[in-house]
Amino acid sequence: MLKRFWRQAVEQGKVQSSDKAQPSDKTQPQDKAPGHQPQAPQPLSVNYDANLQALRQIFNLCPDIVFHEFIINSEEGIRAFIVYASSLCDHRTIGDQLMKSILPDSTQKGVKITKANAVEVLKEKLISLAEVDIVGDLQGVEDKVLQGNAALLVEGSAQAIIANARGGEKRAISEPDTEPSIRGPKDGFVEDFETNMTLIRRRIKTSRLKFMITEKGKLTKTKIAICYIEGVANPQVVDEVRQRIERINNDSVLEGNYIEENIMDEKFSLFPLIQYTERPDKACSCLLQGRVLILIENSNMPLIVPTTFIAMLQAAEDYYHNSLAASTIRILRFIALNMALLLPAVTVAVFSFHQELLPPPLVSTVAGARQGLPLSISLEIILFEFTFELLREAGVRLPKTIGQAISTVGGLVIGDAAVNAGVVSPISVIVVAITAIASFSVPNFEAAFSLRILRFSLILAASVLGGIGIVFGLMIILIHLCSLRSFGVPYLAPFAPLIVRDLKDSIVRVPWWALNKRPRTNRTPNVYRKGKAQGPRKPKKGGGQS
Amino acid sequence: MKNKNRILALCIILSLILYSLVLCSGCWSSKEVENLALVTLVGIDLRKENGREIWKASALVLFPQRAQGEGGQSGQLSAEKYFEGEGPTPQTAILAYSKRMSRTPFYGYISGYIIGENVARENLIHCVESVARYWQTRPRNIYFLARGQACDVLKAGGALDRLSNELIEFSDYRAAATGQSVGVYRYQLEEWLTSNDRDAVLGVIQPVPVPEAENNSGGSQGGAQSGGGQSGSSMGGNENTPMKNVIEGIAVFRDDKLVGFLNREETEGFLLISREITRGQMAIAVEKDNQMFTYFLSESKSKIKPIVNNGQISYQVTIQTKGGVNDQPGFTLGIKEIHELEEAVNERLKAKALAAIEKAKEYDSDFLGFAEALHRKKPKVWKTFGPSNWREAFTKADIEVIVKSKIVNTGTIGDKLEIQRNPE
Repeated sequence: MLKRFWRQAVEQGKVQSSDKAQPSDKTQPQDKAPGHQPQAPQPLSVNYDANLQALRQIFNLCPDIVFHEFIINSEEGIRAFIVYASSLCDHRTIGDQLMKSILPDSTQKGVKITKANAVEVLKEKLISLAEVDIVGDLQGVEDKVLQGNAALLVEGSAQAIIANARGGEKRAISEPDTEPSIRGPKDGFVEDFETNMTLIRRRIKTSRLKFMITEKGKLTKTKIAICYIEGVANPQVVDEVRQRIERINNDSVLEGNYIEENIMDEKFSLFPLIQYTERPDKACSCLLQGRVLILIENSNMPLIVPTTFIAMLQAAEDYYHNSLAASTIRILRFIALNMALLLPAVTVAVFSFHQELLPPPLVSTVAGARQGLPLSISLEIILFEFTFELLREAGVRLPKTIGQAISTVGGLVIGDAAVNAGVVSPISVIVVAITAIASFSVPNFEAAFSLRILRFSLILAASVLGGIGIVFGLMIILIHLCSLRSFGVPYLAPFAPLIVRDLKDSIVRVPWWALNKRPRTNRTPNVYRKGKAQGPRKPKKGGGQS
Repeated sequence: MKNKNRILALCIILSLILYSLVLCSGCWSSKEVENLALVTLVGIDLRKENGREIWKASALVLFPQRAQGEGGQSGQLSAEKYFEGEGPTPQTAILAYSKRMSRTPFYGYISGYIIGENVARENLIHCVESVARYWQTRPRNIYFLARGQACDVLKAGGALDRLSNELIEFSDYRAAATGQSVGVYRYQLEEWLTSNDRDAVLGVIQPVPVPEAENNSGGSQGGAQSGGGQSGSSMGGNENTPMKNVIEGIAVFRDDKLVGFLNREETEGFLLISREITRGQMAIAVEKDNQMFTYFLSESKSKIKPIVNNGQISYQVTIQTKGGVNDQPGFTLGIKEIHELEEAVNERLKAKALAAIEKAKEYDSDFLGFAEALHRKKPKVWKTFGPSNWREAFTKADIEVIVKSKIVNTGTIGDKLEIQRNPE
């Protein structure tokens, strides 16, 4: 019954949204506040006291909202008040600029302020100082104040002047912790929305760089910017991103993942279908490839769509180092990825099923060391991997200084003690340690996470079926990978489907002079990055002399 | 709603079952590495009692053991242990010793099979076939023929290392390169035994007493330990005179029967005709002007060319060798002299090759591959011979041997050492 009622209500436009979460939303105390009806915004009154009363009511129990009443120094003695959120505004802007320009007015020459023209005159005055707007309803005032503006209401006027006074505490730009690099810029995204936009704008100085801003989260009112370069990004992808974000109707967005999981192509996938980065340079590089960036307020990790599997193995630094070095490192990472996924499983399979694959000295060393141990090698590796995951999780949760101590104690002391006590064999410790190191060299944390889960499944498969189990497991993973799409782009591109042009920047990276075109994967309308044949050239013989 | 719950329950049960697979690890076909007995070498013997065949299988087995050193962290290998068993067929004999082991015998690392002389004379095919059918044997397992009993070879062990290791290293390249013998892989032996244009050969291994001086310096450490329980009654026989194995000579087969052996000279002849030698270490003593010098053969190639003339088959064997002369009694090694030395070497090598051919004709066994060459190059002629008389294509043919040897190296000094003698 209730469902049908809501459906009807939505169809008739009584309720703004079709979201099922709506009924519970209604019970929020904010919604119950008087004068807060979503259907028809309540206009401001001409009555000064009524306005003040209404706003005080709205901001009841909000100690950070400041009401500041004063009399404009004119012949009539017009009463006015300014309301702002002290936590979101810059006090200096309000005190030094807004108030100073309003108060000493009547002594100056010019238009006299009366109740009738106060709003017009003050707006004119303030326009030189800040971004100014006029709002005529209570809801608008509330929203603007909570976005960090100061609202000025004057006696006798049913309009509020909104002046931008945004400020407040924000974190300074610092080096990105999650993606450090040796060469390359050291600035990272921060939580502040404007700063993040600045970081991008500083790098791409074209009016074709667009930010489409929307707001999500009924309570958090988080700003979200869809950022792309017009003419470089595929308009269909941009439109798809916009549509998917518009579809979201939730009460809060506190981090990128609130959006990410809502706009993914698959409901569940072990692999990250949306990339994120903390580096503005990487974000800009993605924009220039024709991808779309989703900036989210209060998140220092914008999302990047569409993404591919190979992006998990690419680090920003690859584009700053010599291409040969970068390619070598990428190949190394590719090997590391395989090791992180397969090494424990292969160890289990080989030592429990296919001993003949090993050279005799190795098998005899391992077999000798494993004499009289209580667990089979598969259980040993599973338990050790589990212990390692525990240590890693503990290390992440603990403060940095203690975290290091934990990993030392865990890795070295427990491993060594377990071997000495004759509980586990040295080979398990070696394998788990190498696997851990290999998994750390995968640049994308989410990808490393999916590898961790898959690793366990493969160990299980290997301990039951040996090499065949691993092959089955890999086939399932491959089938899954082939079926994935990220905003319409095949996840395994440029390998499946094979896009020869994009192989230039996949497991290897060719030098910049050979990267003529943008990746075809992103279906960009503007293909050429640069003119042809611009590589380094040796001077012609005698050319300089003549 | 009910349906949803049911699906949820099903999912939980399925995942529980999947996770319970962890507990099953170690079951089914898995075999933990620490529970394996690594069989490295198997010997097979045959004797007859009251007209019935009694097979005897012997094996050298490695048991990895935990080292008792610091911390006991790394494993170490014991010496090879010796096991033996008997039965009416090869497999029953092998199972007889397997029963006495506490661990599962694992043949993945087996280096080879030693066949007793009796087996080779009486029933080689039974033995080779049962080995070939076993799934853990590998095409590159090596076969040797033991002079006497195979079990004696296994008991004697290796000279320096474990016997199995020695056999692997020997067979890989040294057997032919040193001119001592030949290493025959399983697939090769089976191919020869089943072919109708070539006879088989095998390298010969035999235990010999260790010279007193070597024994004192600990030369026979690799001897196998007895581990065969009650079967070890005959084990102590050689305790007073320690033995070690020597690989030398070649055993010649006709069909599947052992017909004889080649001595050192004939073995080298065989290798020159039928093997390509690279990185050779064959030192050949050659006589010139009543003085001996050494031709150090390092490379050799040969070609057998069948010639059919009016139904008469003859063969031309061309052997090309390269080598050095470092050990010589003061010949001048100019261009002319080197040619003379090469002539002497040619004669010497030709004699070896002819000795091998002579022996082959004597045994009526075409192990040198003449009929095979005819089969390949002139199949129509070869087809005129039947399956029973194909060896006549070799035995009745004239064979010409041409040796083209080269001296490519005269060591680090060019001229001879001129000893200044006081005029008397």
